[in-house]
This record gives sequence, C-alpha cells and structure tokens, in this order.
Amino acid sequence: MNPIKEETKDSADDLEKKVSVKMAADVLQSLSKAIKALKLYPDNSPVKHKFISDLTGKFTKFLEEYGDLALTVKQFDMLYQGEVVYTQTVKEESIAFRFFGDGIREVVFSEKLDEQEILNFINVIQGGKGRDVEDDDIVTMMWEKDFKNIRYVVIEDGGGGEEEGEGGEGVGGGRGGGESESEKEKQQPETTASAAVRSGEPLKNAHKAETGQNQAQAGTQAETILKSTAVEFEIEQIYGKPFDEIFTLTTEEIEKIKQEMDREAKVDLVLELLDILFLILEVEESADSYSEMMTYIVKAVKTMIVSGDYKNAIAVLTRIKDISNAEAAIGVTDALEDEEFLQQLTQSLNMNKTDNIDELFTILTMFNKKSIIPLTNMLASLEQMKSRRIVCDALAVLAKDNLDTLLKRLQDDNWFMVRNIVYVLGRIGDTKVTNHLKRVKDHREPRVRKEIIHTLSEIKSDDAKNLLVSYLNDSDNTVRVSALKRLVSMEHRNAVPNILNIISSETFETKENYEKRELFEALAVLGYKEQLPYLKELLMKKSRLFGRSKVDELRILSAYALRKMNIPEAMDIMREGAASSDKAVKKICEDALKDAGKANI
Amino acid sequence: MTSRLFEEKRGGIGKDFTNNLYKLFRTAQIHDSNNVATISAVEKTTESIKTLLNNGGPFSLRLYQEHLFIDDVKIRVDIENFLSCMSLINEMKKRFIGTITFSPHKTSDELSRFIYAFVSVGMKSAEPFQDLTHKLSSQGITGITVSRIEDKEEDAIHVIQDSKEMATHLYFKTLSVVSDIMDSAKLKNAVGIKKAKRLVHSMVDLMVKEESTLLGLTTLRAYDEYTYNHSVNVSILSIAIGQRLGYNRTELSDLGMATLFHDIGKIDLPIEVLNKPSEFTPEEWQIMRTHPINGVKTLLRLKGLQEQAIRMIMTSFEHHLNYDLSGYPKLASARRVSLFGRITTICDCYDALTSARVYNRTPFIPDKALSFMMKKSDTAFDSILLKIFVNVVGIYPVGTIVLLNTNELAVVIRANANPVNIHKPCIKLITDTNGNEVDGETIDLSWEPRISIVQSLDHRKYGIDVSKYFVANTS
Repeated sequence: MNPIKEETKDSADDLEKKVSVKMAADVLQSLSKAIKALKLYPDNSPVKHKFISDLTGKFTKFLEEYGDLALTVKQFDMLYQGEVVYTQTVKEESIAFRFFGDGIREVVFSEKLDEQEILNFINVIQGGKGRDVEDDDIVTMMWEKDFKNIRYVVIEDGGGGEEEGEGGEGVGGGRGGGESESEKEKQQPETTASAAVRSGEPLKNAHKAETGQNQAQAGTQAETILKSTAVEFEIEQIYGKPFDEIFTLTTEEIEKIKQEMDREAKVDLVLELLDILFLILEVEESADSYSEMMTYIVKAVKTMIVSGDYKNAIAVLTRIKDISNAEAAIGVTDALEDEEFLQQLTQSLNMNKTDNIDELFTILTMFNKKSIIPLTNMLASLEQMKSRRIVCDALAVLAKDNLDTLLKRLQDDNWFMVRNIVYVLGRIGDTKVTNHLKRVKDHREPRVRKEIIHTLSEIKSDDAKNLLVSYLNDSDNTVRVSALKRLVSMEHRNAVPNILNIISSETFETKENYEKRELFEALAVLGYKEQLPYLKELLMKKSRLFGRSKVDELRILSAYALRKMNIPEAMDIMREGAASSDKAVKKICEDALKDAGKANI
Repeated sequence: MTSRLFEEKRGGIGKDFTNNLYKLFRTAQIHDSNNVATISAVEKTTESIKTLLNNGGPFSLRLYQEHLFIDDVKIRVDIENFLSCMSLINEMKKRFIGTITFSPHKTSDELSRFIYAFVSVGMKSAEPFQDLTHKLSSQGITGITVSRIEDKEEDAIHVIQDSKEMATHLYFKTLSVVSDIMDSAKLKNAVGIKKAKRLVHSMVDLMVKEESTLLGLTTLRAYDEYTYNHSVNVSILSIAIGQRLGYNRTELSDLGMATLFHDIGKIDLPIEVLNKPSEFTPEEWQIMRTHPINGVKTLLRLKGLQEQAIRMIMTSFEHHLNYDLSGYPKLASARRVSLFGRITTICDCYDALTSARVYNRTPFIPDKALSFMMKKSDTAFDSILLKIFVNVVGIYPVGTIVLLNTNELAVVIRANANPVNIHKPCIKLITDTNGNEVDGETIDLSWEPRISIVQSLDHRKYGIDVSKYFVANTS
C-alpha cells in the first residue's frame, strides 16, 4: 500500500465530508428559515413560496450528491456524520428540541423527497393545524402524514428516561411522558392455567378425552370421530350451503358496503354527535345529566354559528325548541347570549364573507329577550354593513315589546350606536317611538338625524310627520333635503306652508341650487293646483334693475315646478309666459315647454 | 404527470390487474383455452397489462412480505380486491414465485399459455417452480418470466418472529396505557391520549404487515383486568375488519382508538357489579346498561368536540345498540348505526362470548361463538360486516385448539383468507398422535388435503393456555 496515496485519499475523504457537512448545515438553516416564513406569510405569499422552493432545491441537491440525509437528534442539536449541523437552544424555536422531546432520535430524508412532503413536514414541526397537544405529538403527526421519503427513529414513550441522561429538564415534562416501562407492563398476566401448561399435562388430558384414549374401549370414540370425513359445522347447518357461498361477498354486498363507506366519509360528525346528545336527552332522567348534555349541545351550536354553519344551527335550535323540556330550551338560548360567544361571532362576521348571512337572522331571532343588550353591544364592533343590518333586524324582532332596553341606548356616546338604535326603532315602527326620538332629534351627527328622518317616515303617524317637518329647518342641507323628500313621498300636504315660508324667507337665496329645486318640486307635488297662482306670480314677476338674477332664478324654479306638475293648467301658464314680451320669461317658458314636450314624447 | 401521481395511478390500476389476473386464473382452472370465458378473461387481463407498461418498458408483479407490488408501488388492498390479492399471493407462494415480469412484447396467446402452465403446476408438483420455468421455456414463452422467492424460509421466519415479539410487547404496553388512561379518567384527571394513539399506530402498522400475529394475541385472557384486556382485543379485531374494508391508515387509527375506549363508560360502574361472578339481577342489568351513555359523558368531559373524540363518542354510544337497534340504550327515535359502531358490536360480542370474564361464566369456544353470532346476522349484526369478520378470523379463529383426523392436536395460527378454504386454516401441531406435547410444524390445511379438522376443543375445559403460542418468549 502506498502511504502517500492513502494519505491523499484520506484528505480527499475529509474534504468531501467537510463539504457534505456544510451542505447539510445549509439545508437545516433553510429549513429553519422556511419554518419561520410559513408562520409569518399567508399561504399564497410569493415570499413564502420562495423559501419553500429554496429549501426544496437545497434538499434535492444534497440528496442527489450524498444520498440520504440522516440526522442524529440531540436535545438542542442535530448531527450529520457526527458533526453538529444545527443548534438552537431557545426551546420554542428549536426543531431539535421538539423532536427530542417527543422521543425522536434520528430523522432520515431520502432521495425522492418533494415539495409537498417538505410542506407537510413543516406543518408537523409547527404542531399541526388545530391539533390538541394532549392528543398529538410529532410522532403521531408524522405517522399520520405517512411520509414516503422521511423516516425517523423514535424511542418508546418519547423523551426523558433515556440512558444518555439527556432527557433532563423540560424534555419529558409536558410532551411524551418520559416514563420508562412500568412494572405492570413487564409483568405479563399469568393467565388461567399457565403453570399447568408448562407441565404439558393439560394437552395430554385433552388429547385423551377427545380421542378416547383414556377409556377401556380405546380408539372407539376417536375412530368414530375420525371416520366422519364430512364434518358437520354448525354454520353450514344454519345456512345449508357450502362455506364459500355463505362467506364470499356478493357484488351487491361489496357495492352496498362501499356506498356505506362513501356515505360515512361525508357525514357531518358534529351533527352525528348532536343526534346522539338529543337521543340521550330523550331518555335522560337525571336533571344534572340533562343539563350537562344541554351544555354540550349549546357548545356545538355555538361552534356551528361561529363557523358560519347557520343552516345546521337552525335545525338544532329548532330541535331544542321542539323538545318537551321547555325550561331547558330556554336555558340553551340563554346561554347563547354570553359575551365571549358573541365576540367570537363578531370576529367571524368581520373576517368572513357574508353570503348566507340571511340565515343568521333566523338564528338571532331564536335568541331570547336577554340577548337584546349583548346583541346591541355587538353592533359597535361589526365592521360590515350587511352584518349590522342583520343584527338590527333581529333586534327589531326581539325588542318589539321591550323598547326600554333599546331606548336607553339613544343616549350612547357613539353616534353610530345611536343611528343603529334609531334604525331598529324604525323597523319596529311603533308610534310610541316618536316621543323618544324627539329627545335625540337634534343629535350632533347629521347621519343620526337622517336615520331619525328615515325612521319617522316608517312610523307614518301625524306626530312623526310633524316632527319630520321640523327638519326642514335643520342646519344641514342634506338633512333638510332628506326630510323634504320623505314628506313628498308621504304626501304630507300640511308641510306646504312651511315650504312656502322657506321659499319666501331671506335665507332662501343662500341655499344650494339642488335644495331650491327640491323645495319647488315639493311645492308642486304637495301644493298642487292650489299653488298655481303663486307659481304664476313668481314666473311673471317683473324684473328690476337690481335683483334681476334673484327674480330670474325664481322664474326658472317656478317653471320647473309647473313642468313637474304636468297638468293642462300648468302648461297654459307656461304657454302664456312663452308669449310674453319679457325675453327672459319667454325663454324660460319656451325651454320648459320644450322639456315637457320631450318628456311627453 | 409527476412521479408521485404516476405511482398512485399505477397502484390503482394494479388493483384492476390483480382482479383480472385472479379471474383469469380461476377461469383457467375450470375451462379450456378456447372457452369464451377464458378468451374474455385473457382480453381483460391483456388490457390491464397494457396500461401498466411503464413507457413501453416491462413491469413486474412482485410478492414481498404478504403484499403485492407493481414494481415498487404497493397495491392497495380493499374489500374489492382482498380476495384476489390474497389468493394470488397464495398461488405464487405455492409455486415459490417471487416475481412475474410482463414484457411489452408479450402476446395474448402467450398470456393464455402462461396461465395454463401456471395452473398445471399446482399443489401436486414436488418442484413447482422448476416445473413452471421448464414449461415456460419448452413452450417458448419469453414475454412473461418468473423468478423465485428469495430467502423465503429465513425471511418468513424472521418476519414472523420479529412480528411476534413486537406484537407481544405492543399488546402489553397497550394494556398498560389503556388501564392508566381509564384510571385517570375515573379520577377525573386530565387525560392525554397520545400514548394510546402511538400504540394504535403501531398496531395498525403491524396489522398491515402481519395480521395473524396480533389476532393471535386476542386469545390472551387476564380475568382481573377483563375490561382492559377486552378493550385491546376489540381494538385489534376492529382494525383487522377495517383493514379488510380498505380503510386507510388514518381511518384505521381512528377505528382503533374508538374501539380501544368503547367501554370507557364502565369506569363509573360499581366494581362489584362489573366483577360479579353470577348472573346479574334486573337492577344490576340496569346499571350495566348505563355504560354506553356514561362513555359519551366521560369522553365529552375529557375530549370535547374534536373529530376523533366524536368518533370515540359515537362508538361508545352505539356499541350495544345492535344493527336493528334492539340493544341498549333504548332510543325514542331511530338512528343509523355508524360503521364503527357496527364493527365494534361484532368484535365486542365475539370477544365477550369467547372470554371468561369471571370464573363462573362459561365462555364459548371461538367457532361456537361465531355460530351463535351468525344466527343474529341482520338483526344484532350487520350481515355484510359479520361475513367480513368471519373472513378475517376464519371458521376456526386464531387460537382455536383443534383435533385433527391424524389424532394430533393443533392450534389455529392463521385464518385462510379464501372463503372456499375458510375451514382450512393454518395450524401448528401441539401434540403428536399420542397426546405428547410437541413444538410441531406449521401446516396450511388448504395445501394438505389429507389432513382435516375433526372438531374444535374447549381449551379451558382442559386448562390449556392458548396464548402461549402467540406470546413471544422475551425472557
């Protein structure tokens, strides 16, 4: 053997080892980064994709060049070929610690490892989505993933109690137990006749008895048995058919059981559980047990509602209402009003699409009166208008005979709360509400005042209409116009004097054009023929040197109102104007007639 | 198509292929090569071979540790192809064939000639593998080749011995963990089930690898720990049914967990009732009948509303309902019993019937227990699942002591998967013809037409501990 060649070979091997160890460390660093990235970025993030893609590339390169990546797991480290390639002493972040704690002592990645397996592996390290730490650990999750290209070596009971003594503080603690085989396990139960068996006597006795060799007429019984070549089987006797006919599954049977399996795979487990709980309720006699079952039913219903499964929640709540124990049913709906649940529901409504939200209305109306306050509170946190509307509509049903609870909230500091309450009051439509609305009539927020206008228009009582008229003098023009429109749609003719007052007031000139137009239109609709002379007077009014523009504006608005009336008498007035020597009147009336003509066409 | 998808597709097609190949084999046993049925079977098999040819290259049907593979892809076994796979495995083993390779150049005519050559070297041949290769060569069949099982005996012995040791350890470990969990539940302590889950996972793995070893351990009886013993047995038997149904490993794990804790409701029952040596009074029956609902409450308290917990709850509630709801608890309105519930009912009843819970109750011997249960097919038990159960355990279930027509005593160690041979299990001789205990050979009765079972014996009557044939001697 050439010592120089050997030495060269050794150093070449050392170099290769160094390179492979460095590459392994690189893979683990990428793995560590990818785990962090997966926590931070959403599923569709390109950044996340890049981390995974880099990691897959590094794994592939390593596995192609060096074959299996076999890592020895220590408490905080991972070793490749005896060299540390990963260290992390912060328990919460350490991959090694998680593996070690659950009893994994070696992890081997092999050549066909692909991106999906890597993602699943990371998911396992992260603890699995929605997994209970009491029921799962890395080992159970790795098993369920059924990795084709990731193998692992695990010690029994996971963590702790290992001969190397590294399972110290924290390792065996919460995860994996760390218990060594108990004495109980070591003692395999001494069964019925173990001692006798060891002697071999029982077999001898059995043989003698069954073959008849212990009897004087030795052989007789055995011969009788042995001669019977056609053995009588009870099962064959039952069916009178050969075994293969009895036990071979027919095509129909295979099909039937497959259908059952398919059906079961699609079954809603929560509904199955609820069915069982209801069946138990039907036979339960103890009050405590009854209430315990109800608690679980409520829990399930809450889960359904929060997850948006309104349809099934309705079915369950209906079933609760149908059961004989009405008191318990009330208890269930009482339980639905708790703040924590409603907070969860609020979060869910804020985060998710509200496609089937109308069903939520049905659910909320199944709540009892006590839920009025928490539901009202909920309004403050709901971000989507559609959700708020549903809750308000439900409150209108629940609070119909319980107005006091709602009315108190009219003094709320949040203007949007007051607006929602006003909306609810409007949906209730009770005439008594008007008096309470008067208290907030002048609320500082125009949007609240507008909601009051809307509510008053829903109530439609004289009192409500009169209150509505008062908004014609509101400080905000959008509020005034809103009130005006409602009065028009309600055909509240008593508002005409107020409108005439506004038109003839000094402040009229300062109003926006659109408001002026709305006022004249209201006058036309509500005042009708009675206002023809007034409108004619305005139309024909002589202009003076000063104030011509003001007069012209009133002429135009009058023509607009007359045209809106669209009756022969109004047309006659405009035709008269069209023949006027006053060029301005002539032009306004001609234009108005032209418009009216177009409209008539 | 990615390699993973391609492999999965091959596994699926492999299922059709084994079904067609087995049908062809059965047809060739009955008809000649010109028969319409044979021609049709050859055509169908040829079609499945075409779809399996890998980019025009050859592929192999490989037998490895009781499983069939298409090249390296394991063929998934479920209720539709279980029989054909098991039968093909048996037929390949009989001829010592480890691999059958199909070349793209193979013709339909070659397939037909191959199958008749295969059939003709059945059990009568002393050297079936040599005979077959000779026949293939003399008939000029080159498109289909066979190779021998490698290290058959040594491999098989190791697998069985390893499985036996693993199974024994697993059994006692599970017994211990179940007892710990149930004791904790009784004391209303927080209960984590991950230890049990790990063990059920191991049971599933072992069952997939070697079914009969674990099944054999269900013969273990420890009267003072009946509930725990029974729970583990029911879990094992259920996993075996689930495997036959084609459940995937996660479903098998769910089933194993649900059945392992199906009797958790018994923790609240008075011990004097549970262990009462004589018949129950009506009042005691009433107490006993509360345990399915007690189980629901216990599991709800312990595990809440998670998916696996719900399956456990359903199983606890349903396991005494019976298929036709004639059992208990009595329901005010009808309910469809889940498959898990139905499977548990069967396994629970079988294990209870064959167990001596207390000394004064006489248990049934396994085949009598099955006869008893068959009478309740379609009433207490789902008839299809009961059929599958009998297919799993056999007419003479694993652990049955039988008297042979040779005057020897034997213990059943493996059921025969083929319903035709369901009464011809694999046995191990335990005495000679004079009744002297022997560590006898293992015989597959379906291969030995001269040996048959005369009757089954009640091992308890003679104080024979059957479990010793299944528990590995780890000392």
